[in-house]
Amino acid sequence: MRMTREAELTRAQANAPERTEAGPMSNALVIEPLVDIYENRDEMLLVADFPGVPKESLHVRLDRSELTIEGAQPEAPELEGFRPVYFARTFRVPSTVEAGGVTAELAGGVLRVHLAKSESAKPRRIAVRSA
Amino acid sequence: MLTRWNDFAGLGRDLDGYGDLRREMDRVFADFERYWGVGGARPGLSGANARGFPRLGLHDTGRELRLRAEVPGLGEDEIEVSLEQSTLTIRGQRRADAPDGYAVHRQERGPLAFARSIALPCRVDAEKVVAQLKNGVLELTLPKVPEEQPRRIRVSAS
Repeated sequence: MRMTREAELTRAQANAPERTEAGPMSNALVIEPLVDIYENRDEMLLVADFPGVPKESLHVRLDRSELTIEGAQPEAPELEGFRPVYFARTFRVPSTVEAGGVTAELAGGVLRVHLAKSESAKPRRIAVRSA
Repeated sequence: MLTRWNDFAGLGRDLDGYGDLRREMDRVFADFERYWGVGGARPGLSGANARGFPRLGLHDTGRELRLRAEVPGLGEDEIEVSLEQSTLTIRGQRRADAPDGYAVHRQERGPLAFARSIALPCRVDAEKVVAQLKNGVLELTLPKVPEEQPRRIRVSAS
């Protein structure tokens, strides 16, 4: 099967993190979340650490070939000296990923983004007919 | 055709651009160090990955101490908190969650085991410590023993 090259995924990192709609608070640290990236024949799977980020302030966006994940920790006035973090990172997604086939779930501070591959990109068995 | 290279206006713009890049890079590195701690290892990068993980914060509210630790992906049965005198220790282990049948492109999170000890600035009541895990963040509330709590001293005029 055709595998995606590592470089294709992470090339967009040089421009990240872009300040985008969610936007960090003025005193927030801006950090790229740590990620794992996996792939099988049906999908690409991105797993990222977003500790302390509630679901409401987490954003996953696929804009043409760029996937952006971002989320802000809420400000906690009772915890001085513990600056909230704004996590943001952008990835280049290979064209084999179907734009409508992206799903994401958040559990225990870990985000999992499933990027389904389009049917045409999946390996296919070609039947050989005898003439 | 030759490119004009001694265009001072253009050069000035380039240098301005470089300044922006430089400032942006400085910010990225500064935020990184503030987040993981200076010299703190980024968990995904080495085997001895305990240093710098989890990110911790301790705050004194007067009546109690509050500790916050970022432990994404750890369940309550994978974290152990112990208190001995005034030393608090947090131990934990995160298994690799590489799913079966997937090829690995990048693994920064990785499996890790850590133990961090913190010398608390005062004595706390071990019986009343509350630990809560939410959204990958462990929050501990450690009430101080009565003798350590702030006291108001009455000022009397002679």
